[in-house]
Amino acid sequence: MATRYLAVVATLLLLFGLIIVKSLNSINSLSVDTRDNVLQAVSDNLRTAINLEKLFRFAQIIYRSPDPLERRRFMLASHVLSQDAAFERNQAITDIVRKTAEQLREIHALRGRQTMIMRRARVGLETMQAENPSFPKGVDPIPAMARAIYTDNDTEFYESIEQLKELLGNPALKGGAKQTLLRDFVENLETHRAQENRLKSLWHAISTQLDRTIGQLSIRTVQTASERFTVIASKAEQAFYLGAACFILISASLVSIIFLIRRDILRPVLNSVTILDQVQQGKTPDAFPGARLRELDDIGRAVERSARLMRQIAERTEELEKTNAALVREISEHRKTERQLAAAKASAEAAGRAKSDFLAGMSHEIRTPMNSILGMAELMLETDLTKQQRRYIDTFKSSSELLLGILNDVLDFSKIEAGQLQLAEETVNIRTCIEEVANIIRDKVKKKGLAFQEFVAPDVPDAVVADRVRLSQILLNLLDNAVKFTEQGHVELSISTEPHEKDGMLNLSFAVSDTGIGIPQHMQNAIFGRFTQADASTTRKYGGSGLGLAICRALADLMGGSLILDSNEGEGTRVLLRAPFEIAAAPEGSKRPDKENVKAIEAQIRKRKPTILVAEDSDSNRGLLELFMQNCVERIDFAENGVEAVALYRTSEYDLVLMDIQMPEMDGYGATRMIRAIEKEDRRTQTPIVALTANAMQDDERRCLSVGCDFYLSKPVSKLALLQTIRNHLG
Amino acid sequence: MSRIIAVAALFILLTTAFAAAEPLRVATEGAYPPFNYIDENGEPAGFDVEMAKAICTALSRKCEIVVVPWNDIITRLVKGDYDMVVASMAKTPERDKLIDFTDHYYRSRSNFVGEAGRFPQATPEVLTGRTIAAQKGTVQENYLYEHYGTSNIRSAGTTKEAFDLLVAGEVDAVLSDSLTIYEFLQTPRGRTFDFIGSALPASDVSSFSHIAVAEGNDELCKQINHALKRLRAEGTYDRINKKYFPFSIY
Repeated sequence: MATRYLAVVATLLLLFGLIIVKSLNSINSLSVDTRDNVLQAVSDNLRTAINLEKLFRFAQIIYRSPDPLERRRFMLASHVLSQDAAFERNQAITDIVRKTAEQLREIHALRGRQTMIMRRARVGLETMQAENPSFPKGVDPIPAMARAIYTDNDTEFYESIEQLKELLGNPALKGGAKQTLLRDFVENLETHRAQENRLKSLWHAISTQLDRTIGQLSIRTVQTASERFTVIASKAEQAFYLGAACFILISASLVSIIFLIRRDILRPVLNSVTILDQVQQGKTPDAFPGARLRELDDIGRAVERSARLMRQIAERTEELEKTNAALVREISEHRKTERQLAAAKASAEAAGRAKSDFLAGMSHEIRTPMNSILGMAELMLETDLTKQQRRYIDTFKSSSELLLGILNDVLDFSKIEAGQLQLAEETVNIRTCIEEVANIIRDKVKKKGLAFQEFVAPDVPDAVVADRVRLSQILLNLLDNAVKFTEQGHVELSISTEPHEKDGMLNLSFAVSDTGIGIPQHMQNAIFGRFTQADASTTRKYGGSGLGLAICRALADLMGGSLILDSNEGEGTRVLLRAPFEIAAAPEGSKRPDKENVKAIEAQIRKRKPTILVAEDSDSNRGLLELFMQNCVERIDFAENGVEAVALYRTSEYDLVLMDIQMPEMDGYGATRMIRAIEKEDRRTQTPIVALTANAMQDDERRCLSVGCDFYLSKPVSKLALLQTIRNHLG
Repeated sequence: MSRIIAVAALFILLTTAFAAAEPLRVATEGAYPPFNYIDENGEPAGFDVEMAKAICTALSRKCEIVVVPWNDIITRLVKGDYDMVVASMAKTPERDKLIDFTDHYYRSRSNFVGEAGRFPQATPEVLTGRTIAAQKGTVQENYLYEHYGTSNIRSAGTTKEAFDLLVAGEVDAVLSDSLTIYEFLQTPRGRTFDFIGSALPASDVSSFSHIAVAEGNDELCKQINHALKRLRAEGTYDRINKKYFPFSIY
């Protein structure tokens, strides 16, 4: 929109400018032409007129002057003047001037002849006078002759001529020299008169010519100048009117532009400012009334939106302030509560510590005498005893063992209650563990005349990360119960696997089933509770603290698994322990055929006396790796994250780096990149870097190799695999 | 204070410059009446001489006038013996190569002069076989050689000598400047002679007289042109003109 105005105004201005410039230009060119040509023409005409006047004056002098020298001078001057170049501009004038010059020559010549004639006449008179003739009366010509010679007056001159002519006719003068003389005299005078007439007509011709020519010249000159100036004046007037018109139009345009600006630019701007003002004052802003120019409309609407937003912001800020105040209050409340809680926690912790101290103490306090009791019982059994004494001590020992068992259960349960029980994480060989448990139970089973079956699924891994003691405890407890509550049939222990969604983990199911008395439905929940056996009578019959299952369930929960009971009265019982386990590398001391290869590889590595940098954040993994390598590696440096690994690498030389990928602070990828960079910078030889990654996807391999690793192993790593890799990459 | 000293120094410099302004050395022929001739006191006089003096005055410089024979007058200007030549010189292309010319300072056409009434015209046809004289080294002499091949041409050392030849009857006509002829025809010995035929064309180089300066001396050339304009505007030119001729010769 704005550009349209500008375009129109610019076009108008340009148009006006062109018109005025053209006008002024034409005036200028006219003026220049006037100066160069017209002025020149006028000046020439002036010169011509002056020279014509001069010529006229010369003509007068030639015509009137009695001095022949003067007449000659001016005749020559008029000849030269008539050649003046100014006369040649106009053919008519050229002709007139030439004619005039010729006429002047004629006048000059005639005057010369006149002088000669008059001289001759004078001579004649003098001759006549000298002879002193006597003339008859009344016919004396001499006075008339004298008058003719000496008079200035034309009339007298002519009268004398007539007189003398008359006298010539007088018979008294007939014959003789006197008559001849007189005749000659009169002839001369007549010639003179004729010449005079001729001169007069010549003079008349010249003067009228020159007068007319000069007059015409003046008129023409004035006319030319006048015409030219009229043209210039009219052009100037035109230019003036054009200029005035342009001025008016431009003024009008300016006024309209000002008006338009006011309407289209100022007003929207002021509206925008008003809106902003309103916001600033905290009032709700008005809507933007719109503008003609798109740009200003956009601006205005943007301002309106901004203003509304600002208003909203202001409102929110108010709310926030309120909320803030409330929060501050809450916080101070919370702090109070926190302090209270902290106090409570402190006291709880204190209580907890007291409890565990108590338990530990108690545990120690109880066990020590119990051990002593049992020990003494053992020792006593080794001495000579009477049958009766042996019987008493056997009972004593078994009761002690029972008591110890109950005490252990109680302590365990208290620990669990106090949340003090922690599961260990170690690599456990399932099969070995099962075997041990089975061995223990086999005796009891045999004693009762039952069959015992054990079944381990083939896909159960060799090793998992578990708490061997507690696992065994659970299994033993379950098996014990199975044996305890089965009179006939069998007890079975079977272990199977189920996949776990996480890589490297597995769900193991330990199932203990028996063909015993079973557990009535209504008791099944309760027996997991504390201090509850199926019924009171069971305790009497079967003994036990009743805590066993509760402890097993608690332990199962701690493992992240579950203990499930499946039983019906009289139909046997199946208890299932199901928990996730992390698959571990085969524990040390596994009797595998590769034991030979491992030893050989260890020897190979040992020869090299390598120093290895291990970057691994997991404690146990570090431990595991150390165990794996401790036989053959000269020195192992541990780093708990990428940053430490790089720091260690900077300061020492290593033969190999084991880089765990998943680490805090800086992961294996970053550490590898940094190490490679350091090598480049310091021009060190590349150290082999083996990545240990828990993820074993294709991408990880690519990524490991792309950041500069030489090899990668996926966790869990077997001892064999690790040693093989080390040996292969030690260069 | 320093400003006053500077202005005073400049002033002194300028005035000394003025005071030490060298005189303008002017050369003229001294044998071309009424424009330049030696008067009864042996001094150079004439229209040209008076013009030269007026120009010097207009340029606020002293005039030193030397008389130089026509044949040497250009060579010695080139040599630098003097600054300008005021001697009714015409501007020809050949001369322009050697020296520079100002604007014209008078106009005068060239004419033939001979016995009164002897020849009706002065065309080459009419004057075929006749002997015509002109001053050596002038444009008139050049003109004769170019256009009057059928006539005999005699070169005279000065204009006076040319007229002498005419008076003596040794030549039939003389081609010279109309104003010098005008002067000659008014002398007693010129009594029996008259202009013959038409003048040479108004556009011919012989119709304009210029002042000459050394080649490249644009400064002096400009000054002289300026001085001429001034003289004309002031009426000095007209005064000098009127002294010699009853009509304007500019």
